[in-house]
Amino acid sequence: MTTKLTTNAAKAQATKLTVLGEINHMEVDIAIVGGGAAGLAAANAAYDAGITNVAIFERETATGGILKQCIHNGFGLHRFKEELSGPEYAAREHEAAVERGIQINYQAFVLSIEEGPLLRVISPTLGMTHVHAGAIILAMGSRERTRGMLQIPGTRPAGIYTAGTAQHMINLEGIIPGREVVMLGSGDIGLIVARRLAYEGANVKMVLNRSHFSGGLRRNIVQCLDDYGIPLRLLHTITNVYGKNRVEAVGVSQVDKATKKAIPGTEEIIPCDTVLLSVGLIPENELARAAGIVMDRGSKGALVDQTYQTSIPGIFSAGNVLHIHDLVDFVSEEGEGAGRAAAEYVKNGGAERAEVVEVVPGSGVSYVVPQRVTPAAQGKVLMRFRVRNIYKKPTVHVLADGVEVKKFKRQILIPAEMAEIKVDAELIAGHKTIEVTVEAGEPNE
Amino acid sequence: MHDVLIIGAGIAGSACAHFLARYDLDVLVIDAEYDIAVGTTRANSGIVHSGYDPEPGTLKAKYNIEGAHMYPKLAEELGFEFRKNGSLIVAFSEEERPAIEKLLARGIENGVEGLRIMESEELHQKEPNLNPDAVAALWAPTGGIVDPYGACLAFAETAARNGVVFRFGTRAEDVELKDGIWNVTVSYNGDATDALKGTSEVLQARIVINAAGLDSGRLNGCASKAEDFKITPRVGEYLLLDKAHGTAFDSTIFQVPTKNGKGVLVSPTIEGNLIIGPNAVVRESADDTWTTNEGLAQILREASKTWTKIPSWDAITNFAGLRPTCVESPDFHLGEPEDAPGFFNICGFDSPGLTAAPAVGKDFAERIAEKLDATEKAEYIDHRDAPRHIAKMTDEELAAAIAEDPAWGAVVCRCECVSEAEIVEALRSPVPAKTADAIKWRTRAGMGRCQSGFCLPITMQLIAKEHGVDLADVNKGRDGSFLTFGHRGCFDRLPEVEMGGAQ
Repeated sequence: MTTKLTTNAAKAQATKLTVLGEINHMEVDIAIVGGGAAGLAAANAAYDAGITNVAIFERETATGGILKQCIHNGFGLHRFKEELSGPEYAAREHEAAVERGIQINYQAFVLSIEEGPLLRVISPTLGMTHVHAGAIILAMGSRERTRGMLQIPGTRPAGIYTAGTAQHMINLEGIIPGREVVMLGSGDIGLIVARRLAYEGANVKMVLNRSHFSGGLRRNIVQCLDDYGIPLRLLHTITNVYGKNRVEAVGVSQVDKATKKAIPGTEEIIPCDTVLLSVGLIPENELARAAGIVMDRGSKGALVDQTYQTSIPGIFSAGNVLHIHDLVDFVSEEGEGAGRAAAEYVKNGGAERAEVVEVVPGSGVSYVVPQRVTPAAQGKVLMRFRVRNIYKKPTVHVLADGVEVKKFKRQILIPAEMAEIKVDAELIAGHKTIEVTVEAGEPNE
Repeated sequence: MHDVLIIGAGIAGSACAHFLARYDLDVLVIDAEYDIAVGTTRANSGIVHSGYDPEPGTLKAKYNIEGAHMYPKLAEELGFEFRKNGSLIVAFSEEERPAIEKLLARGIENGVEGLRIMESEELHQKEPNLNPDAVAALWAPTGGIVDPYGACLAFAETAARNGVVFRFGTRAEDVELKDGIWNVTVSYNGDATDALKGTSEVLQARIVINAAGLDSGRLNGCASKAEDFKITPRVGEYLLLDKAHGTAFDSTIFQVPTKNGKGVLVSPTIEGNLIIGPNAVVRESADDTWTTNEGLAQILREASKTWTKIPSWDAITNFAGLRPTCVESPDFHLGEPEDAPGFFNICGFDSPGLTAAPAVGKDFAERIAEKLDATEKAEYIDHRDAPRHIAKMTDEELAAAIAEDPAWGAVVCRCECVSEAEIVEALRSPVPAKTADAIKWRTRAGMGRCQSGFCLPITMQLIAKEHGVDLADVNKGRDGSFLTFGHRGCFDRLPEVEMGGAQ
């Protein structure tokens, strides 16, 4: 970060004037909901694109989002070409925002997005404030799936946590959530937390995975489970929780690969005091949904064009709230893209939205972002997607109105790792629908 | 010596405490748990029944009707949530029509107002999501939905403001009548703040109210030989759906009752979720509040008769509630056994116990006041402001609240939109919240989509700070439900690491 910048603090101060007891009004060019990796990158990119009146509304007491509790390393290899811990990565992004004088509002909770667009925000220092924004970037991140969503039966004792909550307890509060631990799901956070608990002397008895492949990155399986002798049991799930006050045991059953259901009669009782769940993330889109933004059922995020603009002009979405990422580097990259596009929107108004090309997932693909490409697209259009299964030596086909216009060869594609292709805008323009499909080159075992 | 000792701080005990608080009496409420409403009160359908179901002439019929009449006014006075949304008991075929007609006749005999048969067209207009097969329904407009925990808390807090003392972590082990005085042996099993933890004591009282729910049968056995009955825990399993479906039905939809109870219902909850359940399974132990795959599948199957397209994937949680049922004589067992003067039972208080509780409480308070020759207090607080929630405030109210205390602007629970100020108010209540569960039930922090994933650590900090306990000693709920094993470094064992594949 060598760019020399003048601080914007005076302006930030001026717009921050708050009258308590009354509804305050604040005007900003770009309002960013969320100060995690996506939000910070978006703010900095918007500033660098010439829009300086940018404000971040962060609901917690610090920026960085979930990075704050990710004290392990492995972040930033793409973005900074070095290996950082989560807090270090967040600190770099935060410092860049501070250098630019980006206004960061802490404990600032966005209640709703109204027409205007306008954000209804509360915070201990802002009171009740209506933020009138030229453009809005949604960067709220994601939340973890819970026991309730999985409908795991059994008792409801203390000792059942999502992996992220356990990680927060250990790394931010310094308290230890479990001693004899069974984990369900092998998502990346779960794998990291399994290792973290092992570091503290807890016994992670096993990690169970309902499907026949892990939801985590390969390097994490090796570094977090294999190195610590923690067994990964594929095609197994928790079918019962026992224990009155604190977890005492779980019932673990085998899962039928074909039906994906637990096989009755295979339940084995595993004594433990803690159940951790790492069974996936969900984009936290309640605000977007309530505002009437059109959502994609596949990505569970907003439906966006190649500039990350949602169905409501002037509202953009980036990072885990748009679709779940594996690497924060790409979250930042996406945030920057949204930041630049929002700046462009503020400067020149919305691009032509007529004659958009629809991008849809085809065979083997669960979703593609963006879901729309506008005629304004130039050069290469970046498309990110996830596959539904493991594909060895696959070919990714891009079909324009049913006719292949481009194909890409890959070594392997797995559901746990986001895939991307770059397609020339010229190949897209003028068509109705672009379909992305994947075809295996070698059969799975 | 206490004038009145109430065993159990559920809806029955708390309602008694509330009505007794008007009188110049020394009233103590004890409960084995760390909070009010931990047993049956917490986990049920949350329905104020209109009263068409109980056999005419039973105590259930009498107190159900009286209680249903009391709820709207009590909710207003004591600031808890109640909505008269009405109940529909649906006949899904002409074969079931006689059953609803029978309930109509029974309801009229019980004195329920406004009952009538609603025919298909009106029914489907009123409830568009109802199974198209439904042919008719009994419409009971006086049925309502209530937040049972909120009602219990309103009773308990009002009682406490008027001088009633609540002591938690206090289990009644034995009761015995000695020289006209009731001796209640209690053991203390409180949390880290309880100086008496691990000790026991004999408390004396002129009157005992046995509102111990699932444990009430055992205590009755200690006090009386004349009155002999057994209380069996009967579990009901429920599924709670996301608020996205809270308006799928406006009224509470029952199916035709079976011998096991009122059957599986589908109802909006007062908080705006949709509740589905319960089934009815007899359980061995009073602690068996587990749910089963079979049970959850069963209620979904049965409820799909009401709503053919139940979005079961949008369930946010499932739970089981235990009902203290007297199987051999299924009516309430209320009042003094002939060999136990001054020992007031509230036993077998299963459905419609929630509805009946205020009527029983008022009746008992009047009888006990007369027995003890008590007079009404000169100063009595008869009103309680409803707890304030930012999720329900207008922008002007929010602005004013945050100006008054910035903590109203600090959101702790993002899913249910709960501020730090709400949590602190619960921690400083006249009946203080001490556990994560107590905070959850009072403020809804942790009850939403993420199921406390984000807010639990913050709630724990607030509890620890307010009550002066170590963060690692905060409990989820009852004794033994510890949330953590201690601070980092609490385990000696260090891992044996085999580095190999990392490169």
